[in-house]
Amino acid sequence: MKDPIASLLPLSPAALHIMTAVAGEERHGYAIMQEVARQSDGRYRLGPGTLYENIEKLIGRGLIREVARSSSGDDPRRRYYQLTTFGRRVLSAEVTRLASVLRSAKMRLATSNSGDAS
Amino acid sequence: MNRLFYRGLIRLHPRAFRERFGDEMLCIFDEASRLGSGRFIADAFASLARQWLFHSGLWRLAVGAGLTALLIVGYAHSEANGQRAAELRYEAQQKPVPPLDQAEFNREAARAVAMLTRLRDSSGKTSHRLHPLHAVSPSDDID
Repeated sequence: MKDPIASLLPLSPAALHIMTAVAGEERHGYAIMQEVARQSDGRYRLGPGTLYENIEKLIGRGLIREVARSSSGDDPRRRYYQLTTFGRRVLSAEVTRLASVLRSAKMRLATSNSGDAS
Repeated sequence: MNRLFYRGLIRLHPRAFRERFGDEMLCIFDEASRLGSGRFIADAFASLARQWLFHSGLWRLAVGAGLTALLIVGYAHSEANGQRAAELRYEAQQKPVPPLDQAEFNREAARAVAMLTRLRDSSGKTSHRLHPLHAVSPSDDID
């Protein structure tokens, strides 16, 4: 039987950023957009359409969920999203995979740099 | 004005998506469009195209329409080619056949016979070279 976590990897850049944004605390859509821009130093900006398309997919796969949060003064149209336990495991597996890719890339770059120097 | 336009774009999204996320998209637009609404409108257009093409199954219709168009174009092309071939055949049939020039006929016939003779000689040599086990010459069969 196929591993349910491995079948979801690699995550798309949008999914990775959104899941990372809601990993620490629950956030509403606009806060997710701002957090994604902050994570990427403004290089990766999601529009609302792209954001909610991805949120719909992530909810469908059980990676994030909507949570109730009503605070006074908050716009009632806002909904909050949070990482699920399964989503946390998938994000953790993706981070491990990316770390391995980075390690491998660094090693190869170091090898090619030493080859260039000789 | 831009808000109205953006709202119209949201309304064009598939119903399930619009009902679930439409209000939130508009909420974000209200909060952030002061920084520039162009990016939001471009994103809504892109989202609209993706939603209808890939998520609603409309892409199947688009692919089907494309294939049908290809088949129609191919059929029309082959029909045109068939008609042209028929025209050429008709023209060839209508063309008067020039009278036979006896001297030229003899010359061409002699050339053809010489060519066939050369061909026969060369093929005989080749077959002996290529098949050493058949090293028996045709004259041996007579015995």
